[in-house]
Formats: sequence, structure tokens, C-alpha cells
Amino acid sequence: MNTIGFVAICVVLAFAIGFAVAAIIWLLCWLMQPKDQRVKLFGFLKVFKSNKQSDLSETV
Amino acid sequence: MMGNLNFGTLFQGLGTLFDSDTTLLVTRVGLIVLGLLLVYLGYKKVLDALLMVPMGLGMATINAAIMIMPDGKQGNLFVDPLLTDTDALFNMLQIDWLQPIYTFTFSNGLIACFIFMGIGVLLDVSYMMRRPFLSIFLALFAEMGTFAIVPIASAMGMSLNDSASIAMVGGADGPMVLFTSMVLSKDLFVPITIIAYLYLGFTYGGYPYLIKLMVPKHIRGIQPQKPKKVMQITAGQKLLFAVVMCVILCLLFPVAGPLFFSLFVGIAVREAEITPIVDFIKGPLLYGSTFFLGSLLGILCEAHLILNPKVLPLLILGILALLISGVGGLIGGYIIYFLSGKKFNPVIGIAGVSCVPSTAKVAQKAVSEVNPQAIILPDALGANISGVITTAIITGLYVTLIPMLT
Repeated sequence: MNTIGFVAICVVLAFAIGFAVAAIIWLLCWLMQPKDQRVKLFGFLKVFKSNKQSDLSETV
Repeated sequence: MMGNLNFGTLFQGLGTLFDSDTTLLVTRVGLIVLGLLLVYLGYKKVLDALLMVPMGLGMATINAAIMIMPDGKQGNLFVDPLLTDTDALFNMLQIDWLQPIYTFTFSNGLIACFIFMGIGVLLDVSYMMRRPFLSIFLALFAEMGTFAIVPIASAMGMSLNDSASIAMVGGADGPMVLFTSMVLSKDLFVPITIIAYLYLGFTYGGYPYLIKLMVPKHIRGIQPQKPKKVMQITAGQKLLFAVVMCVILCLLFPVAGPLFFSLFVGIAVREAEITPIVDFIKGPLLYGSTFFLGSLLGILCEAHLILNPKVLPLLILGILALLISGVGGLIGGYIIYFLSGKKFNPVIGIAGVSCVPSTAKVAQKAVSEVNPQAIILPDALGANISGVITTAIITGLYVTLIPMLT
């Protein structure tokens, strides 16, 4: 393997591991938030949840 | 009996100086002058006094205190870094006064780990944890020199091991350079570490000019848009982060395990509020290690060692690595600047170069000169702390992958 190939692999691995680290940090912070704030972080889930509930109520 | 006594044997520092060939004489005198200059610059606070005063004095002293040894060769009573034979090393431990510190703390990386513990204790990781993706993105761009120098050094005829060791200077993290070069380049780890610590001053002196060169005044003064909701990071979250990261990174790169443990144990004891240990690490351990590291680095700047023909390319590549990393950090800042609709200050990118907290301070100072109301320090510190982690990741990659290839 030439040096540029080696460096290219290192760059890809560094970015992959770096962003995996960032994702883990974000997940840890999210998991340790109080539950009410967790929902705010995932605002789109709340919308989805409310739609689903209304659909169910209509069915019932 | 007095017949053998002449000026050169009575005052051996001067005697060995004038007995040397011109190159050695000029190098010794040059290093004495450079050492005194470092002390002066440290005293004037142009460079970091904590490191530069003992380092400068050590450099001046060792090049003055060369004497004739019992075997007739020139030497000193401080340290011999080139000893590998166990018997000779054991003898030397009883003769050279700094040999025990060099052998038992420097050449096995212990002093680097102690300093890393100190860095861990000083780090508040909440700046990074609030915006992890942004911080890591900037830090990865600010590692450009760490990557780019490897093929450049190889093209100059250096081995992959030596190329990777000198490239680590681009991470601007002294203990990491010491650790990498100790693992990969045992013959060159002394000059590479000296160069790394000498050049760390470049971030203070050179980066402000790089910022002015690459970022126009109207962009430099931008106050970054505050996030709509600032996440509060608790001590428990920071402790959990340190524990999880340490275990994951050690699972990935056991070779760099000592460095990872040292950094994260520092963060862990800080967040667990173990005050006596925190006080010990950030006081006697950090200051003591920095003092002995500075003194040893100066003492190791002996003319015979510096005259190694491999040192000149290292001097050029080291400064180039730091320069490319600075440029890379600013490019990363510009990418976020355009992605955010020109609401982000690209100067923050240079703080991704992990010289904690110097580059963050340099970035804030450069911004304050244009717009005193603009506060970028929290974001800059986030990128700065991420820089330590990305440099540790790259160290792990290099010390794991290169021995497999060579």
C-alpha cells in the first residue's frame, strides 16, 4: 500500500470514529435528559405521536 | 603532576568547545544563545514560561557543560538518551543525575501520561458535549497537517514510522507527539519531541497572522448565532461520557490505552469531585511533570544530538504540519460558515488545533480585535477539547496500523 492510500484510509477511519464519538455523546446527553425535555428534543416524534393517537380515537 | 594541567583541562567546558570542529562549535554556541533567548521569551511571557524557562536554561547549560569523560570522549553528567544496553544503562543510572528521570518517566511515556491527566483535570467537556457534531467536525479539519505531512515526509525519503511521528506535530499536542514518536520512531523521538514543544509557541505567535490572512475583517467579527435551546450538561453526564469514551477508545486502540486512560481519568476525577486527587493532579503532578519535561527537553538539546542530519527536515516538516492544521481548521470553519447561511464565525475553526486552551484564546483574541462584543470562546473551547480527542484517535490509528504495515 502506498502512503497516500494509507493516509486516505486513516482520514476515513478518523472521520468515522470522530462522528461515532459525537453520536455517542449526543445519545448520552439525550438519555440523561429528564423525560419531558427528551420529547422536546424530538419534536417531530411528538407530532407523529399525536397524529397516531387521533387516528386511533377516530377508529375507536 | 601539574604538567598535564592546562587551560583546556582545567576549564573543560571551554576546552571541549575550542577542541571541537567548526560545525560543532557553532552549534554549541548557537544552542547556548537560543537557550538564553527562550528563557528571556519565557520571562517576557511571549512563550509559555512554565516550559520555556527550564527548557531554555537546560539547553544553554548542557551545551556549556560538555567535558572529557574517563574514556577520553566528550560527554556530560546529565543524561545519555542513546543508551540501549541494559548493563551500561544500569551503570549510567548511578552516574548521570537526570538518567533516572529520563529512563523511568520520559522514555516510557509516563511523563506524557501525567501531563495528560493534568489536561483531563483542567478540561470542562461540557463545551464540547453541547454541540458534539460541530466540535468534532471542526477538530477533524484541524488535523489536516497530521494527515498531509505523512506523504510529504515519505516523499522526502523518511520511513512511514518517522513520517507519522513528525506529522503528529500538526495535532499541536506535546504528550501525544512524545507518545507516538516513542512507539514508532525510537531513534528520533528525542528531536521530534523537542521540535513539537518548541513549535507549540508557533500557535501563539503565528496563528493570529494566519487568521488575518485567511479571514477578512467583516467575517472575523461575526457573532455566532446562539442555539435556540442551550442544553445543560450535568457532572453525571460528563462522568458518564469519560467512562464510556475511555472504554470504547481502549477497545478500538489498546496501544494508546495509557493515553486514553490518563486523559479520561483526569476528567472522571474532576466530575466525580474527588477534590484531594484533583488538587494533587492539577497542582504537584502537572506542574512537577511540566517542570521536569521542560528541563529534560532542554538538556536533551545537546549539540551532538541536534547535529543528526535527520533533524533539519524534521524542523521544516514540524512547522509545515502546524501551518497546514491551522489552514485546515479555518477551512472547516468556512464550510460551517457557508452551511449556516454566513452566521458562523470561521475563526472558531482554528481552535480545533488541540493546543488547549491556547488556540481557543488566540481565536477569541483575533475576533475581539475586530468586534469586542463577539463571544466565540464557548464554541472555540468545544472545538479545542474535541481536538484533543481527535488527536488521540489519530494517535491510536497510527500506532496501531503502521506496525502492521512495516
